Amino acid sequence: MRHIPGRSLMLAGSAATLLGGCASHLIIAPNPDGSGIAGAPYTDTQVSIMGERGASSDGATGHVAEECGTEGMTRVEVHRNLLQGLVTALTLGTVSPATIRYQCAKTDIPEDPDSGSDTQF
Amino acid sequence: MSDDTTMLRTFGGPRPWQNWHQTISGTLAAVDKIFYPPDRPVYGSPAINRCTRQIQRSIGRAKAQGLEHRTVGRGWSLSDAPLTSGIMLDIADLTGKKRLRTDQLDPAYPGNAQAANGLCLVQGGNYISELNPWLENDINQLSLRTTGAANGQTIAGATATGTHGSALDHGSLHDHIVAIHLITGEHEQFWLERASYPVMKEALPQSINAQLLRDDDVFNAVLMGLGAFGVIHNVVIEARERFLLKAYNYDKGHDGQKLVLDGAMRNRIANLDFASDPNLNPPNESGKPYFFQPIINPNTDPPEVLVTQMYERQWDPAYRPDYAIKQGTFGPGYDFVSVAGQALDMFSGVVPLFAQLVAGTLFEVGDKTGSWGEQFGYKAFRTKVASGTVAVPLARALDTIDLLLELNDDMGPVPLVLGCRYVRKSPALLAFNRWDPTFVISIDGVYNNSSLAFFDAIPGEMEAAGIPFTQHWGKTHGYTPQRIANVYGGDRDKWVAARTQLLPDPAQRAMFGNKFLRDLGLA
Ligand SMILES: Cc1cc2nc3c(=O)[nH]c(=O)nc-3n(C[C@H](O)[C@H](O)[C@H](O)COP(=O)(O)OP(=O)(O)OC[C@H]3O[C@@H](n4cnc5c(N)ncnc54)[C@H](O)[C@@H]3O)c2cc1C
Repeated sequence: MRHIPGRSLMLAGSAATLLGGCASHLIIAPNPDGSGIAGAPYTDTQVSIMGERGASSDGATGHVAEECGTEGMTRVEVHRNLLQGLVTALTLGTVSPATIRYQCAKTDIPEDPDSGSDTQF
Repeated sequence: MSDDTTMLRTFGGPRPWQNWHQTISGTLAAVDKIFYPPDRPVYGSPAINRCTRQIQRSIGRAKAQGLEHRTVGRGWSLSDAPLTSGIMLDIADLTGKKRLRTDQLDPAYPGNAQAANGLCLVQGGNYISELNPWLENDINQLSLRTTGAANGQTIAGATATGTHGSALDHGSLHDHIVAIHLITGEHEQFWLERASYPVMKEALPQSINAQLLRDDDVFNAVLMGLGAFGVIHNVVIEARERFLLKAYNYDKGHDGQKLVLDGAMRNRIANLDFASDPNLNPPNESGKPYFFQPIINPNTDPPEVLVTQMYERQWDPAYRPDYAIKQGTFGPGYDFVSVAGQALDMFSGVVPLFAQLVAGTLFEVGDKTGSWGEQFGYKAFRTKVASGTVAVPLARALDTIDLLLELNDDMGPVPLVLGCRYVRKSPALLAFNRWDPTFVISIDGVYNNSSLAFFDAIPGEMEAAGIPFTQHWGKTHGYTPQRIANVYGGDRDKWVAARTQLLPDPAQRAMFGNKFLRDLGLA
């Protein structure tokens, strides 16, 4: 059998832990025609401390997406990058940061086929 | 509250920006986002004027601060065309749409009754995915003739870089446009049409305070304008009557053998000959399809080919399109393709296997009937991908394929596939569909060092082989001022002259310029 040195095992183990710490989740509306800011989704970073029974950096309401006004959301992405994963791993999950990206549904614009004239759109 | 408070929202900077696929990044001075009037008036001249005022306020802010001003679409470009150091304007919430009436048309409008019936005024922030269901509904009964393979771009952004599909008898998306409402300054705005193709009665542009300019060269410059002329607020498109497409995705012939790049396939690709080898057609289909796209996998020996052929069918009045994105099942994770890209740089030996895996995931063998908007639908991914294009006269199609296959043998294997598409020539001055027809190879796959090196090498190899070529302005490209001058020649000069005509003040031209345009000698 090939000998696998301990150092390589450790490296592979750390890489797996770190990559495993990274995560991404996506929820998308069936017709996801939302908008964010300049082509990209809006972004919020939240830190959960001691899980759902502890505290969150956005408090109990979570982040209020005022950007959406009265419209709903069409896309929500939750990401944990390498650094955020590391913080979570090192604190054994006590401190758990994540980045949340979202888009808001666009406003419906009323149509009236009879509107306009030969001098006005 | 006044419109000035509710319709224009500024997100201060400096703020980082990335394109949709996170391959281009930069720092913006600010983002201005315009919202439709909150009392939601019907889309028409009064609402347009209220939106125009906010666009002009945004331009005024850039002017006062000596900043660049650039409108973004969906940020789907994989080139830095939308990037700016100044104010980035977001008009994605401006999505008004309406049919035009025959009493609004100039008596000299040269289109026939069917063309007139397809005329629609739409705001620049409409995504293609918003236009499709609106056009195809039971009230309008219309359809786009062609789009790109996905539907997330805005109509103004997609047309500004030359977005195309592979509808054999049609040009690019921008070839639907017959009139453009362009805002060029704090107080200046134009309604542009071709002198050879007048569309609206003069009173209509007057109702939105836009100066009517009918000039073929100016129109053909702005039509594929790279965001360099100001803000495109509204366009008039000429849609066609709605139709259905029966699409076949297949990787085997009738004989059950895998399709490969053999003599018969080469003949079909180079000559669009759909008659001589029925083995290459879907069962029970013959004749020229509406849409044809062979995708060549350069990493199998011989190169395997996945074919999409779509045939036009009459609309069935009972048919109800379903545009919804479908729930996936367990499979590659969200960022799988970007992470795999880094891994493939290290283990190039597994590229062929990986390419087959990805092709298997992305290419679903089978047939499906649907409307245009259903066939070219939503894409959920927002991760790093590589995408570039080489476009050539059809007569040089096989030379170009062979060159790319050889380059892959020399440098690769690279984790990319070669999608062959066909686009009719466009009158737009900087359109990369310059030949009739133009053969476009869309080179797509994993974003890593090897694919970027491959893209870098293509222009030099094409020049060495003496093949005239263009590239997609909204994808990874190797354009230089010299290459642009070589291939676009006098059309490039007319484009620059049109820009000077519409933006006579050098400060205005600088404001609507960006590094992308300066690097290419276009601003
Ligand atoms: C998943 C995916 C699939 C794709 N498929 C295809 C395909 O099949 N065929 C193809 O040809 N291309 C394809 N592309 C490329 C894409 O269609 C183009 O890059 C297109 O230009 C992106 O449109 P956008 O609305 O995102 O514009 P952006 O990328 O945001 O901007 C493009 C240009 O338009 C300008 N612009 C945007 N809005 C305005 C406005 N209102 N007024 C003036 N200028 C404006 C910008 O300044 C910029 O110069 C694809 C890209 C992706 C990400």
